[in-house]
Amino acid sequence: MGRLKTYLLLLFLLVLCGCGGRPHGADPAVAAADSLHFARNLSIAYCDGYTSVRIRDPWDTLRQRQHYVLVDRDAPLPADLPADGLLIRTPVERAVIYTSVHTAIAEQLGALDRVVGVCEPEYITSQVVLDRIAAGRITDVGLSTAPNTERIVDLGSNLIIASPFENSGYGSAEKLGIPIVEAADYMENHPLGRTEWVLFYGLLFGARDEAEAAFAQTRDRYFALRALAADAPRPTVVLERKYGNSWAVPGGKSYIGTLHADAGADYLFRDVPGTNSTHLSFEEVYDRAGEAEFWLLKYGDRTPMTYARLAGEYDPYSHFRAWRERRIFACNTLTSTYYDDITLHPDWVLEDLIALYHPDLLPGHVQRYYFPVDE
Amino acid sequence: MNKVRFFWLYAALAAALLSLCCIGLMRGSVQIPLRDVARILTGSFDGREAWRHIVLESRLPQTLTALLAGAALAVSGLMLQTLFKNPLAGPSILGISDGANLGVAVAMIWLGAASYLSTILAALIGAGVVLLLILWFSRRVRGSVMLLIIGLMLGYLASSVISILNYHASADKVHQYVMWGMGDFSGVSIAKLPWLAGFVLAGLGASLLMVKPLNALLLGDAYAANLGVNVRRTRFLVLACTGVLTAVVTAFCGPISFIGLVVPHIARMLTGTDNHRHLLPVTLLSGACIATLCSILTVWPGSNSLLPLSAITPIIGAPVIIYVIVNRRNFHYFQ
Repeated sequence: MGRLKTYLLLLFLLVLCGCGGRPHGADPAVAAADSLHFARNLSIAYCDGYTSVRIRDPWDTLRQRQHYVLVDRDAPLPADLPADGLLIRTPVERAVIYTSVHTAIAEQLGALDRVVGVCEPEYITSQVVLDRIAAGRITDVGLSTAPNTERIVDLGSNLIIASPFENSGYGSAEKLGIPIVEAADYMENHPLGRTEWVLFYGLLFGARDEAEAAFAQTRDRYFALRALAADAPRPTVVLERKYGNSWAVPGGKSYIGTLHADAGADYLFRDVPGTNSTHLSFEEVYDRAGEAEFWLLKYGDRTPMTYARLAGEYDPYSHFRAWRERRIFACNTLTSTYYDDITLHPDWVLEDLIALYHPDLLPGHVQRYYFPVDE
Repeated sequence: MNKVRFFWLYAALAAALLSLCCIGLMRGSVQIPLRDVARILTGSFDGREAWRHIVLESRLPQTLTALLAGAALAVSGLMLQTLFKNPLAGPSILGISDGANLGVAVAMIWLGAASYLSTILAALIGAGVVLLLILWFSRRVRGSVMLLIIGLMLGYLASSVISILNYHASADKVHQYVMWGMGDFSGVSIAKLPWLAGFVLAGLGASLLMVKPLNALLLGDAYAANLGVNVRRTRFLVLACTGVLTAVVTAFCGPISFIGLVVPHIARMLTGTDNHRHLLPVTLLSGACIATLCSILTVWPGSNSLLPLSAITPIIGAPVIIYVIVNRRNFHYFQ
C-alpha cells in the first residue's frame, strides 16, 4: 500500500513537473530524472538546458509555493524557460544563508567558499564557519527574523536561503530583487525526505555529485540500520514531556514518529493523526503510556536534565514505569548538534535510538545525542 | 437587596462552586466512571493505580489551583478597581504581572534556566520588584490616577525589555516562553499546592479585613479621611495585598488575563451593590467558580486536544466587558 502510494505520488509529481508545458514533457528521460522518493514538498526535473525545481506549500499541499528554474551560469538562457519560474543562475557564487542547519549543509557539500553571509552566528556550531566569520570571509548579517538588508546588498549576494514559516514573508529582503530559496525541508515528515533536499542544495552550489553521494550514503546507512532493527522485539516508548497545560505528542506520521518506529520501538501514540504534534493532557498521556518501557525527551538547557529536575517540574512524572526503572533518556539540543545533523544525518539519530532500544544490536556504539538522565 | 436574598445568593454560589469542583474531578480526557472517582476520593478504590494518580495528583490539584487563583485574581481586581475608582482596572494594570513576565523571560531566555522552580522564583522576583516600585511611588505620588499611570508605564517598560529578549532569542526559547504566557492551572502539583494556598488564603484573609476602608474609599479620599480612614495607609495595604496575590498566582500559573478584570463586574451585577461587605465575598466566590469553569473548558467537549487557558478566559471575559462598556450609564458604582 505504502509503495503504491509512493508510485502514485511520483506519477502525480511527474504530471506536475511537465517541463515548460511542452507535449513531450513527460518523456522517459525526464521521468528518469525526477528521482525523489521521500520528499513530499520538493520535486526536481532535469529539462533541456535548465532544471525545474518546484516546492509545494507545506501548509496548503494543493498549492505550489515556489518554482525555481536553475540555469548554468555560463550557458545561454534557453528560449523556452517556464514563465512562472524564478530564474537562478547556478552555481550560486555569493549566497547568504539564514539558518545554521543550511550553513552546515553548505559546509558538508564543500561549498563554503560560495557563502558570504550568515545569520545568528551564536547558533552555529561548526568551528570552520566560526573561523571564517572571525576572519571576515563570512559576514554576520544579523537576525534571521530581521536581517540587515543593507549588508546583504553590500555583500553583492545573489541568493538568499531562508527557512519559511507559515503565513510569513521575508520583510524587506523580499524587495531586494535577490532570489530567496525557501528551505522547507524541516516540514518533511519522513527523515530521509529532509535529507533529500540536499540534492536541491547541491544543484544550487554546483555540487550535484557531492550531494548525491551524501544522500545515497545517508539513505543506505539508514536502510541498513532499519533492517537491523526490523525483527527485534519492539519496546514501548513515550516521547517528550508536559509543557504548560499540555503534553505535545508527536503524531504517528511525523518524522519523529517514523524515526522511532524505524528504530524498532513501539511508539505508543502512533495513532495520533497528522505530521505535527497534538496537545494532549497529562492524564491522557499517563493513562496510555504510564507503563511504557522507555521515555525519551529533548530539552535545550545548559544544565543537564536530572530526575530531580523532572520531579521539580511535575511530581506525577515519578509514576511512570520508565521513571521507576530508570529508563528516561534525554537529548540536549543546546549542547549537542542534534538540530544541525537531523537534516543530513537522520541515520546518526537512528543509530542512537537503536542503540538505546536494542543495545545488543550495536555493541560498542557511542551515543551522540541521547543519554541517560542523571539522578 | 435584603438579607434573605443575599443568603440565597451565597448558597447558590457555594453550590455552583461545589458542583464545578465535582465536574473538574469527574471530567477529563480520560474517561473514569463516576463511581470510581467517588471511591478514589473516599479512599476505597482498589482498581487501576493510574486512575487514582490521575484523580488525586492531576485533577484534584488542578481544580484547587483554579479555585484559589480565580478567587485571588478576582479579589485583587475588585480592590484595584475600588482604589483607582476605575471600572477597567485589574491586576495586570499595575505592571505586576508584567514584572512577573519579565522575570520569567530573563530566566528562560537570557539565563537559559527553564526548571519549574526557577520559573516560579523568577516570576516572584520580577513581580516583587515592580510591586516595591509601586509601593515606593504610592508614598510619593498623591493621586491614584497618577499612580495608575506609573503602573502602566512600568508595565510598558517590562514589555519592551521582554520584546527585546524575545527578538534575540532562538525559536525554541520563544516557544517555551510563549507556552508559559498562555497560563496553566495544571502545573501546581499536590506537593506545591500548600505554598500557593498559604499565600492566597493569607491575602484573601487580609482583603476581608479591608472591607470598611474600601467602602470609605468609594466616597472619595476626602470623605474617607473625614471618616477616620488613613487613606495613605489603606492605599499601601491594598497595593501590598493585591500585589502579593497577583505575584503568587502569576508565578505558579503564568499570566491569566481577564478574570481579575471581569469577575468584579459580574459580582456587581449579581449583588446590585457597591458595598464591599457583600461585594467582596461574592467576587471571591464568583472568581473561584469562573476560573474552575475555565479550567474545565480547557478540555473542550468532544475533542481530546487541549486548549490553552489564555484562549478560554477571554471567551468568558470579553462579552462581559463589552456589556459593561455599552451599559456604563446603568452602573453607578464610580459616581
